[in-house]
Amino acid sequence: MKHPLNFLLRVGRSADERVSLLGDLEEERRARLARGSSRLAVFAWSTAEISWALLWGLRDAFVRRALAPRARLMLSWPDIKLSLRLLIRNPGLTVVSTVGIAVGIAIASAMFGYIHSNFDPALPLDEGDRIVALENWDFKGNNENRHSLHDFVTWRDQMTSVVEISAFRELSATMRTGDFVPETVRIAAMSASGFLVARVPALVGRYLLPDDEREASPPVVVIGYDVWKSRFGQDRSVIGQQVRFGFTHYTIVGVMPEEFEFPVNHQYWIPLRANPTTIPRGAGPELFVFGRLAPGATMASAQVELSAIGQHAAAAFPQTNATLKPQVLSYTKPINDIQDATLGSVLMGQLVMTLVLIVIALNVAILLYARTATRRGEIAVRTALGASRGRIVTQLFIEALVLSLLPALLGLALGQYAVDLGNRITALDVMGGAAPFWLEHGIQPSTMLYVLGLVVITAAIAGILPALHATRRRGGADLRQLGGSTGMRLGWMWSALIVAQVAFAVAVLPAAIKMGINEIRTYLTQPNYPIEELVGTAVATENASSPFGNRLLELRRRLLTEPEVTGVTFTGSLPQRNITGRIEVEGIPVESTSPPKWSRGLTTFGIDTDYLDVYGLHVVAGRPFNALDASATAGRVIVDRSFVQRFLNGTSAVGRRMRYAANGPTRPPSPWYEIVGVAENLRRNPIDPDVVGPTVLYPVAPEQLAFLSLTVRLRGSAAPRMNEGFARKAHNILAAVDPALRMNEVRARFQAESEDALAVRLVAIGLSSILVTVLLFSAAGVYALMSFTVAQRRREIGIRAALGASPLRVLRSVFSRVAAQVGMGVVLGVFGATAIAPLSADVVLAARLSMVTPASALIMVLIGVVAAYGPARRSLRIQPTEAVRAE
Amino acid sequence: MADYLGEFEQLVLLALARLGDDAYGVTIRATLIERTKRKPSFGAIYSTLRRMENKGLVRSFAGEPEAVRGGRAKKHVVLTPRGRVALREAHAAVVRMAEGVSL
Repeated sequence: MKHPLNFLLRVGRSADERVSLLGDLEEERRARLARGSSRLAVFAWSTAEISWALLWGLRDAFVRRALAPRARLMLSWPDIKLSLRLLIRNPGLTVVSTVGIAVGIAIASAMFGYIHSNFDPALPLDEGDRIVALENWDFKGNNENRHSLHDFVTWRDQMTSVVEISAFRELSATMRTGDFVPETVRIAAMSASGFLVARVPALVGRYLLPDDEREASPPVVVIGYDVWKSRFGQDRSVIGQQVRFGFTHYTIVGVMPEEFEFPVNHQYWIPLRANPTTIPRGAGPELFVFGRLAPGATMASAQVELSAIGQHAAAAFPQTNATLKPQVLSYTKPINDIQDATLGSVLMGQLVMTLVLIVIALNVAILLYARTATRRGEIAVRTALGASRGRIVTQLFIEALVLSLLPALLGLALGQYAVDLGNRITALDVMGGAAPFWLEHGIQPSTMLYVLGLVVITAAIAGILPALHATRRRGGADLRQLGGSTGMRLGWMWSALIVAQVAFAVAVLPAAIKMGINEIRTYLTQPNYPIEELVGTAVATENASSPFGNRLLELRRRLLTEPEVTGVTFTGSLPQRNITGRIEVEGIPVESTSPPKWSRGLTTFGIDTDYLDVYGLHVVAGRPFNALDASATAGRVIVDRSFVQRFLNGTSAVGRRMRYAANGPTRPPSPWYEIVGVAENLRRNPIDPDVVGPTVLYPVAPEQLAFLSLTVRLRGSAAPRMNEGFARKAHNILAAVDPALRMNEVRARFQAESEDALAVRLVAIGLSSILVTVLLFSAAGVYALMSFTVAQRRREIGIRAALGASPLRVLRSVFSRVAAQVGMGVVLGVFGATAIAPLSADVVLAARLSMVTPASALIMVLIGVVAAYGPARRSLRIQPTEAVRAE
Repeated sequence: MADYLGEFEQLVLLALARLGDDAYGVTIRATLIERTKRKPSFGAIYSTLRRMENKGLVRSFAGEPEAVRGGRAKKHVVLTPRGRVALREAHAAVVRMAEGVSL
């Protein structure tokens, strides 16, 4: 009987060997059946035998082809030397390909590295892949619901497929210990069983125990290794010492080992105390719930069990749980706030980025093909001397490999830089700005492997495709190429690629230019005040219902007595005043302030009466705030120049009234506010003043705030050099005013600015490198096409010139093909640009840059003309006698 | 210097020496299973045989087609003198290495 997989036995075998092998299998098969084996068992056996034979055949074929002595010659050192020499001899090609491949690999590897380190990373803990998160998904609100104390207790008590179910929440408090500067620290309030999930024993002392969670137990804390080292000098007698978080003293009971930062990036752990009997269902703190899959359980089986519990809860507590679906997720997902949809789109992005690289590789292939054409004679000679097609293809593949190795390294480095930037931005978003413990630094082996794969694919496309094409036809015709003309043609694929290239450039260029201009403008926006003299921090009272009152005035008075301090002020916001949206100015019809004008970011926040003074911002009309303005009934605002330009067309603002217009049926218009003054813009932009959105400032008083942003102006440009001394002084002053006040880290204001700039930088780098690549390749493609056309029609041009054709006519005929392709590309591209234009949300910018699409079409035409110029000039210099003689 | 032999190559050559004229895929495999308690696949045996044939250690010739083999011919394999020398050398090396060693 014939086995359906028998054909696989051909792999790597001669005919007689295959016949004999089939015979052996048949003989053995019959023997087995005769011994009473079932047909199924014999079928399974022969399938296994064939599979093995296939593997052995593949191995033999590989050994024979790749490692046989003759084949080894193919990867010879002379080939590599020749490739390096060619890189130097064709600098244009080398530069274009290097830039292109480097950008492609940078983008693809950055994407890969970022996904690898953030989406579903491996937790560096014992059986870290079995640690899972449990979270309620509110399918009505389409967001997660972490007020899940009651559900947490139910899950912990009922689930069997996830064990050691624990929860944590993050707190922040001012920590005071010994002589150190008090600092605001982030604390993980975690169930004691969380340590069992992590399976990491304490380095000194113990970790938290279930008993510690009881309300009556004395407050205890476990500290991290870094804190133990920096604050306690690795003193083992730290156990039993006390630290103070806010008002409460905690006894240190343990130190965790180095690099232990579970659950995210924490150094302090206190027991999670949350009593479900005193907190109503659906209320209470936001909890992150996690646990370990029980032996034998899978995510899927755990989900089944959890869903059943969820349905039960939805039936029992419809008010709170009817719209909640509990989910089993990988541990990092809730912490990174990643839902499946996001992951899917990111993976899609990864695929697209790999495709970008393939397009780049195809472009390099065109260029290499153009070069290969000029080496047609060399290839013919080698063939005549006995080189096989495989030998020549291998040589061209190695050339492409050498060509892509350097850009691969550049791309890897650039990609890694982007990954680090991305991780820094993500960490800022996640928790407290520190990297989570699972984040691996540096280039990962998996990324390197991925890049290696990309290099081979790139080299295969860029080297083997043109090589196969160039070696397709053999014979004496190629040897004739030594005499001058080329017998090669650019096939329809290359033409299509150039059309697509130009179309893509024209379609994407406008969007990219708009985005680029937008980013650059934003980047150039500078503060209009001496930021280098300012340091700031956030200050909060211990309790949201107790505002600062006189404590803030006292804090300011004491800070001002310090010699380096020249001013102290604060900003804060009142929920009822922090409205954004459409502005209405009394006496001016709403229509004139309607879109697009109001769509640009309006900023509004509350300021202290000293604010403009401390920031050095002049009042250009009217007056600054005074102490009476802050009362709730006063209803006064100060606007900036940008506001006056935008909404009042530069007419006088002082004395007019403004309000926030109604926003749908749910929000009525705000009360009217009187404009008492006009201040200078807070920010300025050297190239486009309109980037600076209008600002509305309202007065706030310390008795209205429980949380504010404090700014201290230091003498001279002291802020960048601000050392720990001032921070300690500020903390001590704060503690002296009232220990109940909390203060964040004191930082120079410009530091915060530079963090904002990170994201802008990332976008700008990515965008500009893609743009440069697309333009470079478009130009190179057109150049290659034009060179080809001229080389192919050398003889014809010569004859036409000899017959007296004018140079213009000759040029026109040469240009026509390039013009047709560039033209077709431009037309398609304009359609594409029109199609994607609505995706850009910024109406004002879009209106202002309406000329970008025609301009980018023009740019592409110009690039085409410039790229065609060199070959065209060459065509005009063809001497009729030479051209005809060459044949 | 005789040819270097891998362990599986030695076993296959010993099977050939034992089987004499009746050595082909099925009998070689049966001998290996019987005496070494291993179950090598036909693919592995064929790869080894071809490798040794390329080195000149064995020689093969086609037999007559047989009904029990679905009408296919056997490929008989015999040791060449060079193969016999290599086998002897390899065996001697093992014996020398094992001399005085209690196993």
